[in-house]
Amino acid sequence: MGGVWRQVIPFGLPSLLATRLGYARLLQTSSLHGIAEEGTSGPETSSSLDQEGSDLETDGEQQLKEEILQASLPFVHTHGWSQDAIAQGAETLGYSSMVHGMFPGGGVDLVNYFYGQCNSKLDGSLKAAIKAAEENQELRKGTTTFIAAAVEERLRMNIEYHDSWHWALALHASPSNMPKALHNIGTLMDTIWYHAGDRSYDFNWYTKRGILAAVYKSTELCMLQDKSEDFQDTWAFMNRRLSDVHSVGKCVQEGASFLGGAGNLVKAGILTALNMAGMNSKSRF
Amino acid sequence: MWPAGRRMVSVVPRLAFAAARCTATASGHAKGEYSTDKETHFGFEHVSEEEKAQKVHKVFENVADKYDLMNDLMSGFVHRAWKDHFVSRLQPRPNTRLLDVAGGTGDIVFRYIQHLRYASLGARVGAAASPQHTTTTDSSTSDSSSSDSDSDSSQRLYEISVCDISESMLGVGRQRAEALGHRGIDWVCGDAQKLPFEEGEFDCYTIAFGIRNVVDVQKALDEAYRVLKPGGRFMCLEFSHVKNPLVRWAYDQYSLNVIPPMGQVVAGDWASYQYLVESIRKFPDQETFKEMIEEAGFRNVTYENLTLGVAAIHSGFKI
Repeated sequence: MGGVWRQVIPFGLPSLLATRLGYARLLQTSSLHGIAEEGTSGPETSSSLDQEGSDLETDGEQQLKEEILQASLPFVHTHGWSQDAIAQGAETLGYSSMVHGMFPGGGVDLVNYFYGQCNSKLDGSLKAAIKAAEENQELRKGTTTFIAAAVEERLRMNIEYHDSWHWALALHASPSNMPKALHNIGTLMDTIWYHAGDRSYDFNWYTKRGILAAVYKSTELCMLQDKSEDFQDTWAFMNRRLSDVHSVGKCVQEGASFLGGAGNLVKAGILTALNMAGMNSKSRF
Repeated sequence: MWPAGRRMVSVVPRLAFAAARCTATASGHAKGEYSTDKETHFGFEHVSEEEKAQKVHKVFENVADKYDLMNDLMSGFVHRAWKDHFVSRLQPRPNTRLLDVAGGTGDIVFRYIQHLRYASLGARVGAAASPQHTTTTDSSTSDSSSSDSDSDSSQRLYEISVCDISESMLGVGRQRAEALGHRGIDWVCGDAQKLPFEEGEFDCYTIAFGIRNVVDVQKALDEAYRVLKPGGRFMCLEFSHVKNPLVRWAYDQYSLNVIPPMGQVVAGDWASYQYLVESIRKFPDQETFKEMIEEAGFRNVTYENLTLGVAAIHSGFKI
């Protein structure tokens, strides 16, 4: 009875995505992709203000937008993630406050910019860590430790805006902003996993990133209400979640092999029944 | 003659300008700006530039008192939604200066003021009350047309100038402002091609359903660029081209066959409304107009169609 459950490894989309994203990140070393151009909701007649009839922006315009958003970040402490902060920021650069109209999403554009900045910073920092680990064997970390350190580093970047971070998360939760928000977190997860050494080309690519996203999000929410010294409670929470993932992962693996065995058993049972009924004359076994 | 409570700072040079110009032509369009040789279109007619300027002026002198009523009838009240949407896209801010060109009867500026009032109300209710705000909170919430907040010169909510080529249109606008209790708006008679303002005076420049009446649109755009501050925003609401052929056919039938007779019945003026309808068709389409705006120096130029392209909002920044 050589019945074999062949494991079909789906090549195709996941592998393409994995390789493309990994490759794409090699190219995007310091580009900032946090500005939402098209994530906003439009009026009843058109999809969005910018998409209809706006050409690809010139580099000069893109750079100016980034400058304005960068100048607006200090005002987040007083005005929150809002159009007011952008208007104030623009004024410090010598532009009329009406320039906020370049960011139809308002506050969410500022959030996305900041998020993108942090993601890029993390990317650079993880690269440097990997390089240092290559040179110095002692600095090598296990996968879980590496991921924990990366998540902690990224969340620490939000501490500066801790008071208004709930506002930022609320903006991201809004349906019109969700695509961009998902893109942000997706890129972040991909960055972390890629540098942690993941080169999977099957469905694991999705599950790994999905699981880490869940861990990251829950830790971020925990951090919102954390009042402990240097957010110790949050890091403890994160470590517990990561160890949960570890144990769940092991359980799933064991379950899969168990299922394989069970499958064989069932097949054997069916063949026996067929034999007994005399219906197995054409059996190839 | 001049409304009370105006800013006195920059009034003197502007007064001289306005007085000289308005008495000279009695229309408002700048003499010498228009040539008698260059041809342009007045609706489907071919006329010289000077003729067009005069004809446009005459059209608006004629339609002024029935202008708002005809707008409502012609668009089935949709123009109100368009203008509401236009101002909400603009997102007015306090402590900024607005110039509304060809804004004779004041539709845009009244909405602008309402927007600022509601925005500031929200800010007052939400934020901790500071001494000068607590006194006005009660009056603002109880009486929406109260002008307490904007007639107080130490706490100006807005600084608005309205410029129009036609004195009659401005007259209607002044009356409406009186009725609504909005004070401190600067009503100026002038030509969009040669604005009687200094360079870099305004934070935003709006023009709603006016730019297609300008003889040389590019010049008007250049002037807009001139009077805006760096970072200032140009916004234009105008009739535009409908892409969908079925809708376009229906719209054409309606425009050419229903609107002029309606104009005759309501305002007693077939010809003016014939011109209005024809001028819409002669105006460049969305992409071409966008290029013209970029030509004037504006950047981050975008447009948005309203009602499938019957109207469009173009926006650009002086950056």
